[in-house]
Amino acid sequence: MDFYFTREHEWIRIDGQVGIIGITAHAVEQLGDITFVELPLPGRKVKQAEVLCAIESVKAASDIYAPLSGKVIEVNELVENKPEIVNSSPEGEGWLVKVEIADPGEVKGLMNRDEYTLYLKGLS
Amino acid sequence: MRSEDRGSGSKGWRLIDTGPLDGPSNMALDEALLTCFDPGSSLPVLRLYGWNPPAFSLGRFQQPNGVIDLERCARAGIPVVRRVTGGGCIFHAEELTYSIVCTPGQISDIVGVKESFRRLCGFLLLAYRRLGLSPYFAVDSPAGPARLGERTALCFAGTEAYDILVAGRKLGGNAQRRTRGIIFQHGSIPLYPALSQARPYLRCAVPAGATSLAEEGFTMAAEVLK
Repeated sequence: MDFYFTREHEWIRIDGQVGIIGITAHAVEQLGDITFVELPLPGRKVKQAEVLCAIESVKAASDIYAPLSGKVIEVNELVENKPEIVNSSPEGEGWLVKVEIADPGEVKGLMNRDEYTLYLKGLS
Repeated sequence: MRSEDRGSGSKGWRLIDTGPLDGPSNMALDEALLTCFDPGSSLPVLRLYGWNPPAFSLGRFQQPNGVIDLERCARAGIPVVRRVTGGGCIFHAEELTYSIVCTPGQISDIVGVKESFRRLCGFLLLAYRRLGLSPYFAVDSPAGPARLGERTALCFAGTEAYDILVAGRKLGGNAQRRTRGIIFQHGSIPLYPALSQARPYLRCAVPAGATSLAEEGFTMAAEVLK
């Protein structure tokens, strides 16, 4: 399974036609303690770079964007009840949404892990 | 409404003073400022306003159940509006409210939420110091670390790292929205105590840990404070 990243610090792990989406450790560090996660309803269709869901941390409501176009097929109910899991495991248990990928070709607009690491270095 | 551009070139700020408006108008104007802000070309915005009539606002994701009696508010003609920002329920009566719209690049490339609160609330610390108060951020509390960051139904019930305290009591509150590379921050400067006025409409416990400028010995109109 391959990880890809956006400039807005979302990640997507691709397994065939399914993409699992979350936010990166860098995003979590910037957001601070996460207190609420608003997830989309399964069945919703999103386009690449559209708002997918939202997170509240330290009284800041932040939009999270879809790395790829697709249809939401599952959300992580665990983070709805325990949003702090996104802080403790952003690339593991703290995943947010699973989508059925509409256009695998959109991946070329994302970064792989090495490129994302370089991107982060450029921000600091 | 008064609107002017202050400063020059990319370092200027747009100051908008709308005076007091009703709750729905206030929230609509804030949303319009956020929606119309272009991160690539807009000047950062500082809007100052008040509330007439007094109103409750709920945080972006907050459900009113268990927090506020909507029917009682409706009977009393008290508007209940939703903010674009996070945080909890606030009763807006005699206060000066501000909203800031900017990009991280316009505040020294500060991206982190906590650091941006410290930066964007800095002007409040300066203003309070000019009045002769001794304000400080909760995270810098001389009393040592408190319980920070807990999600609470009422904005003034919880304390975040960069909330402003005076002698241990919270003076106003601040909340943000992050979207499209834009930081939108709301905040309030309570001129007079308002919680007793709000209490009959609340369905949750009202804490005693908040203060206002009047309670700190400064009675003044919003126009004077500006």
